Amino acid sequence: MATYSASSSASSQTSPYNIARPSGVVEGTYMVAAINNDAGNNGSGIGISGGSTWNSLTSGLGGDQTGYRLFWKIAGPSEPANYSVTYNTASSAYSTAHIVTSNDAGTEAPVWQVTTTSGSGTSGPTPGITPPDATALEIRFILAANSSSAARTWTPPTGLEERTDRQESGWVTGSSATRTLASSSATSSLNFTCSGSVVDRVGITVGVPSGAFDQDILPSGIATGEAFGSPNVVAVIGPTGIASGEAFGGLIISTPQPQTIEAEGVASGEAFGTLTTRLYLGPSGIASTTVFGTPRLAALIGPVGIASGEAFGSTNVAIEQFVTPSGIASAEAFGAAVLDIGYPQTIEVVGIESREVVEDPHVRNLHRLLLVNPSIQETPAAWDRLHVRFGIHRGITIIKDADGVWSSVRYPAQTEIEAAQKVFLGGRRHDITPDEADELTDAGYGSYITLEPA
Amino acid sequence: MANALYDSARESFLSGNLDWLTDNIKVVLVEGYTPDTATHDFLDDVTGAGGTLVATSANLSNKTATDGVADADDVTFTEVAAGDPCDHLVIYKDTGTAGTSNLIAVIDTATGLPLTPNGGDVTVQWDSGENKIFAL
Repeated sequence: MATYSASSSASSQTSPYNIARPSGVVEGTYMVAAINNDAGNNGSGIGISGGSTWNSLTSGLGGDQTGYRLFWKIAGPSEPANYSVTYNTASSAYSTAHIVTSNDAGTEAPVWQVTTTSGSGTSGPTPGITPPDATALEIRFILAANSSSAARTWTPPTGLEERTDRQESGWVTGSSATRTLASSSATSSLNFTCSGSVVDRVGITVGVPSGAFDQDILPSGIATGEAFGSPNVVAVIGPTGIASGEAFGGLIISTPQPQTIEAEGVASGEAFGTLTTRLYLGPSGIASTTVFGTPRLAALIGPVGIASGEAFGSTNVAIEQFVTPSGIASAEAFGAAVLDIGYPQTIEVVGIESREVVEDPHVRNLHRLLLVNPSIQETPAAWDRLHVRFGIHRGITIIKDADGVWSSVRYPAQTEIEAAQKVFLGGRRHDITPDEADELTDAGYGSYITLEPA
Repeated sequence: MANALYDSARESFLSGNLDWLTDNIKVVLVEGYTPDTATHDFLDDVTGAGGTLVATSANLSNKTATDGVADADDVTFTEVAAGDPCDHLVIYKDTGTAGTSNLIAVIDTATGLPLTPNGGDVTVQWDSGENKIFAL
């Protein structure tokens, strides 16, 4: 981008005259100078010198009065404080000079266009140009003569900024203005406006190329992707840091919201009917050979109500009875039922022939006392072990020993008999006295039986 | 649009086809390009979308990837010929063939952009903020 840096201007009625070096001129500064004179002197007679060589771009005569010349150069290492301007002073000509500089322009020669407008007027037309680049510096000069000695000033075209505005004794005048272009598109004609009428106006437009200066680009960093998809699982696991020694902190699991699991549908072709679950209770049939265990039947006894006033005897209550049939044999043949009675039963064992039944002795009292000794059935005695059994009766001897104690003895020894006070041998009948009878009955042997006379 | 990573670059970083530290990464100054970060994946897509590669840098140097943030030394395009304004910088992996050079990022938002080359050097100064060149 070529930008405006500085400017200077000067005017004179004599030649040569000086124009100051614009401020900021250094080696490489791009410098453009436009100089005019009046009195019909062609601009080809105009010159400027000092420092590096000034290069003439164009010169001419606008109308009858205004001679002009355009120069440019790149400032050298040693530029003077003032440049010397020369022009043709014939016919008492006057002159103005204008220098505009740029410190960021290129090094190529500028483009330029000139428009001359003869006659008088206050408008100062300047031509458009095709700029050398999109950021060229456009400089517009307006140079004119005046038909009187009245002072004149210029107003630059819209969009341009005035840099110089110079006149000399009212007879010659000039101005410059600049702008930096924003594109390489051709520019249009633009008019300066003069404060009063002028004649033979020369408009010059110069395009100063941009310089090859360094440029910077400062991009902003690209942030991370930022846009995340929606997570399906919003559980957050936030373990605490693992301390040295591999001691783990507690895990924190939070589920901010319930999750829904949706099973995918069964694809077509795999459509299932409605499932029905049925429960069957099917005991196996009873095989004809099955033998059941022992069933039990509970029996209840319901006694008839007892009328009031009746005296009760001992009541036997059947607390529990069971009928315990034998298992049902195959072919449904029932066995014999057995009735169990819960209360204790008397079991009489019949046929134990070893029982010793001692009959009571009897003391008969019929005119005399007769002792009938008891006897005992001695069994078994076998005639034939297999087939014949029989018992024999044996008498029981009653003895009153030396101490007066009565006892019954089945097999009295001889010594017992001899030592006894009284002996009534078993199996016999003994006549006894009434005292003996009393003594025997008192000892528990026998009782009186009163026999009636026959 | 704003500065952005190409979708294909994100995929390539995740799949291991792009290595910021070891691959040859370059920057190109582009004129006339219409970016499409969703579909453009190689350098030939840039020219295919109207772009002119005005100036290409040397390989980025001193690249880093600390904390997922890509950074490198600033880039200088030397004496870029004067021409039309350039709107974009494109960062890419240079394989030597445009059709296989992965696009990484496109930059259109920067102080100095658009830039009209004037024959001088053009320096790209990467952001010194937290994202540097870009962050994954």
